[in-house]
Amino acid sequence: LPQFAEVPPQAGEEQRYLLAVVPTTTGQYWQFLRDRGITREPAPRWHGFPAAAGTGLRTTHDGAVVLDEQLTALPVTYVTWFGAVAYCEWLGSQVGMPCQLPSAAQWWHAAAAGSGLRWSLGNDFDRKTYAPLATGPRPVNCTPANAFGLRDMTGNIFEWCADPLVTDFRPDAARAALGSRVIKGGAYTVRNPESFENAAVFTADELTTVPYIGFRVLCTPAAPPR
Amino acid sequence: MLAEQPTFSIIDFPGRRLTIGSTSMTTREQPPHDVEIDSFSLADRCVSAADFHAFLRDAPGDVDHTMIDCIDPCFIVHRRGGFELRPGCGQYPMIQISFWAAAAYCNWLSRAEGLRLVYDHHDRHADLAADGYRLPTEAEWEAACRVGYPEGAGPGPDGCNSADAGPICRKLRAGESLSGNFLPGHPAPVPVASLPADAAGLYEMLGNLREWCHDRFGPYGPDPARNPSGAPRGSFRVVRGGSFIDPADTLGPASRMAAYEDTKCEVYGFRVARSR
Repeated sequence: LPQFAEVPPQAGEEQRYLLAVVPTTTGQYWQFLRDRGITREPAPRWHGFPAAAGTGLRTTHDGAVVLDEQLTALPVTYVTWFGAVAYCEWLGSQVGMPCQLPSAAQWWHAAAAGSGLRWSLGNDFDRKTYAPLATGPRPVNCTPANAFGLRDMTGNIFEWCADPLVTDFRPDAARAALGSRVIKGGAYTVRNPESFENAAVFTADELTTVPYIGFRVLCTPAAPPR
Repeated sequence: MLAEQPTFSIIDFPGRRLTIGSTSMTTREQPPHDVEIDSFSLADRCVSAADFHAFLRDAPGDVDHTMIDCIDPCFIVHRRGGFELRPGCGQYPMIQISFWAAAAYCNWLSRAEGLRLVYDHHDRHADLAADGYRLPTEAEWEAACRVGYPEGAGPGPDGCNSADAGPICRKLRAGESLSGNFLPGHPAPVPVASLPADAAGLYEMLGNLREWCHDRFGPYGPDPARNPSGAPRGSFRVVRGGSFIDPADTLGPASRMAAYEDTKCEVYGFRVARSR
């Protein structure tokens, strides 16, 4: 199960929450698939793992998903926004607390450690730490912890957040969703430091399966008795 | 042979001698100098998202995810079944592709027609002596654009999708129909060949997208050159023509910019060329 770090509430808010220290790994996603009994059937709305080895989870010719045991520390990728949400719901039932994807605002607050940092470890962009030249994701725990104890917020893979992309301009509705969701943090596929900033917001089609988008889980523990 | 023919047509240009560069723009265009170029062919429009999608479907192993970006805004997404053209996006120009993804498309066209490949993206090497498809050199691009705009004056605000495009042009932008999840009221590409052609029959040379050229970027020198093809080393490539984020008064046949060759961005596209 994921390790969580406690994120102190933002000024003016009361609810503290827990955020996974690192993105969900292939090993953890595999546990979810096995527990739900869906390793042998395709789940097209949740994920689309490639056939080639190297990404930790792959699809065999008969449609089953297999785990490469030596790659369980890779962040899980090729998971859609719906697959990320399904994992969160399952994890909630395992840990007895509601689990979900963070909102973009929660993600930003956590990454900036409540102090408005541009990137998760400070206001200087350290390319060697955040974005070394790579052709795929590195295993999780690839960067030091920030002041809230969170790792890998900046770089490696983008992370799905809960928020939909919406527009006010759609003629047929006041405010309509466009089938995309917010992703944050930057990835090995991008280069400009601005794209990695804690505040930067990108979106992607919610059925996207690519090697550069994963996710991490947020938990809301019950308020302690007064 | 290709199952589906690309939407662009090829226009032939004769070999010629001309002066490229300008003294009236930025230092990048200076000094103006003479070049002599051999005859070449250039596509009349940029490669469309539908054209590029045909390539991705036919040869999905020719590009990897470091060469094409599928995060918004984009006309092609990557889902479980592979690369998918978003509905209604086929006629927009292909964007979010690196120089080497554009080169891979050129190679694919060459292979289909039995021509020798110009690019080797593993070695990051090019063979301009090969007869296959390639990106235009910037001298070829400028020579063609000068034929299109013989008076030197560019198209007006409704004929050029620049940052300050006029209302007729703005209405054609992807965001007005939410295509590719571009948003209304924001600068965005217009469909290929949706604006009037220039005097050479070329569409959207100025504005819309900065177009990947073959050359590595380097400063100009004063000496005349024959078939110049860029700096010998470096990771930046020439991009030509400006885009929907560039003001019209910065764009012309001579204007040039540099882009890191692995950059994937919604302001870069390309059209193909060949030596004749």
